Amino acid sequence: MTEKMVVIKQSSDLPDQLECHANLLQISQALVGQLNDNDMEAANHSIQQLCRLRESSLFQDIGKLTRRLHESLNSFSHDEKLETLMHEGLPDAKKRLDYVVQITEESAHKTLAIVENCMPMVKQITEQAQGLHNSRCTEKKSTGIKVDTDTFLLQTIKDGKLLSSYLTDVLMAQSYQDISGQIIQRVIKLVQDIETSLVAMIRTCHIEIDDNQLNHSVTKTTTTENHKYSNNALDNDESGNDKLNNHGYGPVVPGVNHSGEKMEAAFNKDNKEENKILQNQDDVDELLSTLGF
Amino acid sequence: MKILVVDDFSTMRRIVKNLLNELGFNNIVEADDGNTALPILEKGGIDFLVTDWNMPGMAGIDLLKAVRAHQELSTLPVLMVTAEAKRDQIMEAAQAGVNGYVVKPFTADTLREKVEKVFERLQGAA
Repeated sequence: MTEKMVVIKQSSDLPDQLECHANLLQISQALVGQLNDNDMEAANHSIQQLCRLRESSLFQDIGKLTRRLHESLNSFSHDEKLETLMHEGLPDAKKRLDYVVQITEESAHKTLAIVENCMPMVKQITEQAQGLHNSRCTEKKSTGIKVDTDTFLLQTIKDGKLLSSYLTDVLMAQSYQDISGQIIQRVIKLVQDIETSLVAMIRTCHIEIDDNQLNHSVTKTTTTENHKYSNNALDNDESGNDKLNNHGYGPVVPGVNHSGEKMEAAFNKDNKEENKILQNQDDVDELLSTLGF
Repeated sequence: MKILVVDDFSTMRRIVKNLLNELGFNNIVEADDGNTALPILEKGGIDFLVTDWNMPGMAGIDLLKAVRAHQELSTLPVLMVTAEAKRDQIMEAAQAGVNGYVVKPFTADTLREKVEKVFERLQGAA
């Protein structure tokens, strides 16, 4: 080994690129000299030094990446916002949505109860007016009943029928509770999934989680209705679509993707004809008629 | 005539029940999913089934299939009233032997028309 051999400076600190470049240049120049001098032993040693330098640089890069990842995970695990979101934000969101389902349900039932109370009364008044009018008609010829009474009875019959029709409209309007409830329950399921994923991620970061608190927050939330989307009952299908086994896709929401593709595509340009969402009862009837209905 | 209305939302059961009352059907029982509906059907005496699709436990489509596979219930008329509106689902329901399909939200007239149509077809077939 000659004095031309170069000692590579080893440092616990990461060498900067300039230092690395200088080392490479120094060894390469020494290698050229050694080859010119036909000193093969020294040349081989220099080549090995070049290889080691290259490896060292690679390992240092990996080291840098590992350190960054570690620091990122540490900062993630100490992110108070995330903890607050997991322990308070998400359970709160679920409770709020549950409450919306609950109050809309109570409100719909209240309206339905009023309509149910009114309907038989309207029916009775209309029928009585009709009966009275019929009997008055037969009596009128002989007794000369006042015309205004008949007018009143006819108007009552007419109004009664109209009122009955309005009450049916009020009744039907309460169906929003079913549709909105189904949509909200899907969002609740999504929030639960996010929460579960966050918990898994935080566990990976070795943060201690209070299992009691966790179980409480991830457990199915409750409303007075049964939940369509409990934690375990339903899973996404293979295609990642909204359809949950045989439990369906849920109500159509304008602007929301129901089939893993853009809604526009789902509505208009869907390549898969079977995924097409039908817009209304007429479309359904048309499809059924092609099937012999 | 005794009708079973199956839906997990009690508001929707109540709406359907009231509409059926208006049509003159006053003997109505309720269930909140396929699992609770099936024993009621198996007990006998139900002449018409109105069911939602999307319910916890047993879904409406599975209830329909169970009914069609059941020796004594196989000819029971079934009307599906659901928010599920995909082509493949409607075809699946048709293939499973549904007698009518109403998509939510629906009008009172639509339900009336479909119920009447189911019975007209049944009378025509008889």
